[in-house]
Amino acid sequence: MSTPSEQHARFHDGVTARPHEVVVEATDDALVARDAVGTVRAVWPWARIRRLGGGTGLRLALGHASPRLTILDPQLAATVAARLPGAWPLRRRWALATTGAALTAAAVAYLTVVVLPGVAIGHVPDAWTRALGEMVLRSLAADASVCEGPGRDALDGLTARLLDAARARRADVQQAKLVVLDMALPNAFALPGGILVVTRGLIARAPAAEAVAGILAHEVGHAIEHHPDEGVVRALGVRGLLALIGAGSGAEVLGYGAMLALLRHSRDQEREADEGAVRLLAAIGAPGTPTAMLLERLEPDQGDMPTILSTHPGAAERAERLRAVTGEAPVMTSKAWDEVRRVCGAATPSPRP
Amino acid sequence: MKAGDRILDHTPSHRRIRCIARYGRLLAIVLGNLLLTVITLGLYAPWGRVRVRRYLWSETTIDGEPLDYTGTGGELLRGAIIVLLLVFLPLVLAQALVDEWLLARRGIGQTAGGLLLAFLAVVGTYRAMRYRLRRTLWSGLGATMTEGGWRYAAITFLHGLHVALTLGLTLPAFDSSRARAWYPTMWLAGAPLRLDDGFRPLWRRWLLCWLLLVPTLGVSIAWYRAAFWRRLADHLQWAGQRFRCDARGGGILWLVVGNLLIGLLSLGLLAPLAALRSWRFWCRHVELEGSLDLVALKAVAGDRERSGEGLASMLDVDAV
Repeated sequence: MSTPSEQHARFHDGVTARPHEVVVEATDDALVARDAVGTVRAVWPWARIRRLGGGTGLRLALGHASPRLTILDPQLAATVAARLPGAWPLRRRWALATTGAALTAAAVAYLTVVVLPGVAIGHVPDAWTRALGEMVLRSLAADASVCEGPGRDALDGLTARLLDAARARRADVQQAKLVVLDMALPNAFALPGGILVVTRGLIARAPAAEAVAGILAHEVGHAIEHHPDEGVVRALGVRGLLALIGAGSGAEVLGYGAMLALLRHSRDQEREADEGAVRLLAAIGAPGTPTAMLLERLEPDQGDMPTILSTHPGAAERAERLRAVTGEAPVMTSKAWDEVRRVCGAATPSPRP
Repeated sequence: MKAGDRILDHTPSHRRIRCIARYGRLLAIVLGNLLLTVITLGLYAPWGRVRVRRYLWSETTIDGEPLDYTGTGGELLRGAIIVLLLVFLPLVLAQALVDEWLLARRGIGQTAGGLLLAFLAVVGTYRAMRYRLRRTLWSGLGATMTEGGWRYAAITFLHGLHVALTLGLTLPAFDSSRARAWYPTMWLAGAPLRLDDGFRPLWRRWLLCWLLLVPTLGVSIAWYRAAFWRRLADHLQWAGQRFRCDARGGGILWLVVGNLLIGLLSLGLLAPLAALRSWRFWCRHVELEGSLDLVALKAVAGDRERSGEGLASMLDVDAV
């Protein structure tokens, strides 16, 4: 049983631009528009009516078709608006769709940043990661020469002892090679493919050979856990995600948020490497205090960078963990240590403890 | 205007083209879009664009009747995917292969690829505008552009090279040729735009501006541009209406500088606000004059494209 509510409205039929004055009737099933002589101009089922924005009055369309109906009478507009389908169900559908999309996106992001790098790296041939590491090393060596002076044998021997100690715990420890770069900046890092790099500057700042052993043990920890390799895969994934987001929003600022996320993950890896270093030093009977002293000596070089922005946990935290290693065995003879300090040519005076 | 009137008469005190979109409302839409785009890793972006366009279109009226944007996010997404798979990726692969084969002349592939991309960007611009017009209704009638963009791109490219070779001296001919390849292909609400033969390049104005380019650090081009738009409007007609434009160089300069600042300071996030600024500027400075016969404006059958703007979107052309 229909309850007619007849009011005047404006109808554009989509054939010409001329508006037609029509009488609108809101029945149970549809909105009906008749012209001045009673001819039915439109019968629009409620379920298919779409509300449009702009203009004056209540503007309606039937799906994506061209005709337009504009109801200017406020009372009739309110009556019709209340009958329109889906204002709330449509929002609910949008909310569900958006929530679903957001959860999917979060899952993709989690997989890309956290899970897949660890899984993917196990399937990447060692030759590829080694080639990548060699490529990075070549670019670094373009600015600094590789040191092959006396002391290389002692350093290689120390590296081999640490790797053997690592293999005593797990069988899948890859081969690693040590490279000493003639750079004044004290630094050490692990490249993809098991390439360990220390600089002349680090050796110069070390109070004793055991400090270099601690740093090498830390980098061996990175290498055996494939942290550098994972980092490359993760960075590629994050970059791809940012490109997806940025392509639509122009939100370059999102890069800063992602950097923080990557740094956060990097600190977890540093803690893991620190724990590995503690185990390896204990395994070869070396003390951890010289390494702690070296880290404290290097801390001022980090400047005032807040912990949240740093790739490493705080030096105090790391030093405390290392001081707990109470071995007493020297890692090399004094003569070998003197040679190590000359590995890049001229001897550097041993710093005061 | 009363419902049922066949003929609309223009009264000088009443603006026929109006934009009443508000920056605050648009900002709310833009920020909402950004949030949804981030949490959906970019998937929402096409739907966000549609939201912005629906708002801008619906707040723009001609003779009190608003425009309607009928495009969908799905069409934009489909267009982007099609162009990625059928244009962009093959082009990148071809470029790499050419460089591989022509090792002795490295760079030819990249150069050719760059030129081809530039050409396709112009085609994409035309097609993007065509798509938007085909998704625009006024008083229930649609709009369109009748060509595929290739002739327009060829004219733009060739004349553009000429402008480059003459250090910009032949810019008026470039502008005139492009306008003749663009506007007469437009149909709005069933009637075509017509550019009459009186539309000629602005040589004298441009020569003076060209001589002042360096002393004014390029600012003199704004005065040429304002004169160009005024002349174009004077010779452009639609459905028996004449256009009028009263934009000045200072206004255009402030529009450009302001939009640059908005883009820089917001790192591109507020580009739609800059677009609204431009939109409102042109609505304020362009007017229609004459009597409009609404019955004479009839719907014209046209293709309903199922995907939109892939080229322009992929090549990052255009904000709105």
